[in-house]
Amino acid sequence: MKIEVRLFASLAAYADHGDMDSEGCLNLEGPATIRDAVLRLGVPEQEIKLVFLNGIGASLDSSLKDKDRVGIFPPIGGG
Amino acid sequence: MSKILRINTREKTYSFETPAEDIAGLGGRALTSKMILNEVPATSHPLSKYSKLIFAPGLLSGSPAANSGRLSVGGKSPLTGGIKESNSGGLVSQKLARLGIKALVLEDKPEDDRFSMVVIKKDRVEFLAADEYVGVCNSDMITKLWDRFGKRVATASIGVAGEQRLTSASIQFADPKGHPGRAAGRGGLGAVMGSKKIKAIVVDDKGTDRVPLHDPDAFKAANKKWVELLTSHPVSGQGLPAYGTAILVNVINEAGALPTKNFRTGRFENAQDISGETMAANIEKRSGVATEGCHPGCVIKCSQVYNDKDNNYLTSGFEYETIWAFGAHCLIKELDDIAMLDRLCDDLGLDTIETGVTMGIAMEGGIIPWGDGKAAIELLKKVGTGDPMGKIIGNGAAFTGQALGIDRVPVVKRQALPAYDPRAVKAVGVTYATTPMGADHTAGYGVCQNILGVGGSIDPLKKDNNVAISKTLQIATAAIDAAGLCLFVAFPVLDNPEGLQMIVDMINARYGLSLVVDDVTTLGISILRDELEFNRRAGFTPKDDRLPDMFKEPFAPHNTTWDFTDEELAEAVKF
Ligand code: SF4
Repeated sequence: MKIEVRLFASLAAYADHGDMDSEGCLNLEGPATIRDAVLRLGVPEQEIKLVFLNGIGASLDSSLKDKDRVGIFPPIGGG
Repeated sequence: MSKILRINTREKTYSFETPAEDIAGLGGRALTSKMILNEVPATSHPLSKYSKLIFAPGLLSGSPAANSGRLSVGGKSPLTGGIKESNSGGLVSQKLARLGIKALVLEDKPEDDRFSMVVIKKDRVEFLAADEYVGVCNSDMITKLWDRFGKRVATASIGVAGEQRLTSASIQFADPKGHPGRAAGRGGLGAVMGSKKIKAIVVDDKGTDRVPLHDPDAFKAANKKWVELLTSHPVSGQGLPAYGTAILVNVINEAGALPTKNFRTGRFENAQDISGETMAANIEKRSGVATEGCHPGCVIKCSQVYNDKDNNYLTSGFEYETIWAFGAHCLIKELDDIAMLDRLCDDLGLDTIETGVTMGIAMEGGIIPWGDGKAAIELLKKVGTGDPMGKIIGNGAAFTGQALGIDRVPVVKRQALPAYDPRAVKAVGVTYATTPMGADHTAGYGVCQNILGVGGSIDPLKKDNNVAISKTLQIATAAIDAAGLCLFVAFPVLDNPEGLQMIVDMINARYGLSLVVDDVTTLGISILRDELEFNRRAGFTPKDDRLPDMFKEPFAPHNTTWDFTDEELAEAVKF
């Protein structure tokens, strides 16, 4: 399945990975979780704070399906 | 003991008074709101001689406590018609505190049109003619004042918007480098200052002693822990210094809550172009300053200097809210255009949130095309020129919407909504609806729990628990504003049960008190009660605690609606 993985702020550098295609998507053999996706990209789990799956707060254990959009952030804030 | 400095702007006289017992222990927002309630008739016109403008340092301002140099500016808002506390950084708060001034109160108004300025020094207060400064923009104003009175004096000034008493007018404050990037922006208090014909206030603390600490050792110990808390939390210690508040563009967009094209959808396709990441990259490429504080003693340093592509200064204090308002809300994707709009607002003396939202309303009304940054810059430049369109724009979103015959106007109590859609970040939506300030995110920043996973986690799309969290945050925020602390201390404080105790320990060590953590809640509630009482006397009813009808429409991508009942909302401000 093809997953759109969006990495932000200090994690953006990990998107520069050979397994990511030009559209920012990753091909995964199902079944897979968000953790499988970030492991593949080498993102250290302890740097991850916020996980969104199709715009909804999720966790690394959330399961993925084809065409999902995943957003990953370190701890951030503002206002 | 600290004094109240009263300035009669008609007679050009001043007096110092010992604070009455009921206000002697108050500071910041607690003091401004109490004094406004006590002294300003709620039904009076905000620009009349009955109205007052009060500047009050927080309880910890002037002390070495980290991030404690924030100032509360209070008055009756010409924008909302209700009470207003507008909070700002800059240098005024700490210097007033060092001069032993608890509150500076501008009263009455002159009968003629001559502008003055007030210069406050250790041993005297002076009124000086300011005719030569009329029409001068805030950045030039600071340069002139620093040339005349010495570098690093604190300044508060109004631009042409304030001089013309437009209801989006801000009061701008010099930051430590002399840029006007700090504002008491919301609610049009610059117009109140303009009505009193005060172009600028200069505060010089030369020759003053450090503020007295009742128990210096206890203070030092508490402040040490406090600094560690602020610098070790990942948000205040790393995220904010690295990217500023603009880091929120991507996360709010990802969450589907970034109001786009006047609150039509929650995702902006060009979010990356206006993101904190892009801003940080430009700052690095163009030799800007990635991280700086808005006052000495800030250890978080969310501010920055953003240069243009030729490496020349463009703006500072370039905030998420501003970038959203002129960006996603208006579909403008050129960050440099947005930076220019921010700079113009600082110079003209306009609230960036109100003005950005208004720009979108001008686009809604067909005055300029959606997404046209250059046209927005030209339209904004009309403010202060005498062109009636400039007067319309400078009076905010509700006024402009009315002038253009538009029903899609995102305001509560006539104040424009900030950068989080209330249908997709429901806790902050409850705050918009119910805070006595009019739509304001800072009054109860439920984004923490709804989106950022700070201080717990509450589903942003459902109603459950969102009224309760907004209420809790409104109380805590009022207390933080009274302490003079920057609101961003809330990120570590919400995540660490000892944080509040550290604040209480510092206040106790400063004043020789024995407050406990529960007193913080009591203080927050009493501030909100005062503010709600003022608004009640001014004629506000629960019907004013509503969002406009446009928020009943489903909001993509999550297709949620604004679905709180009146009874549910009433709970947020029931004490
Ligand atoms: S964190 Fe930002 S807003 Fe807060 S005191 Fe520091 S520079 Fe000012």
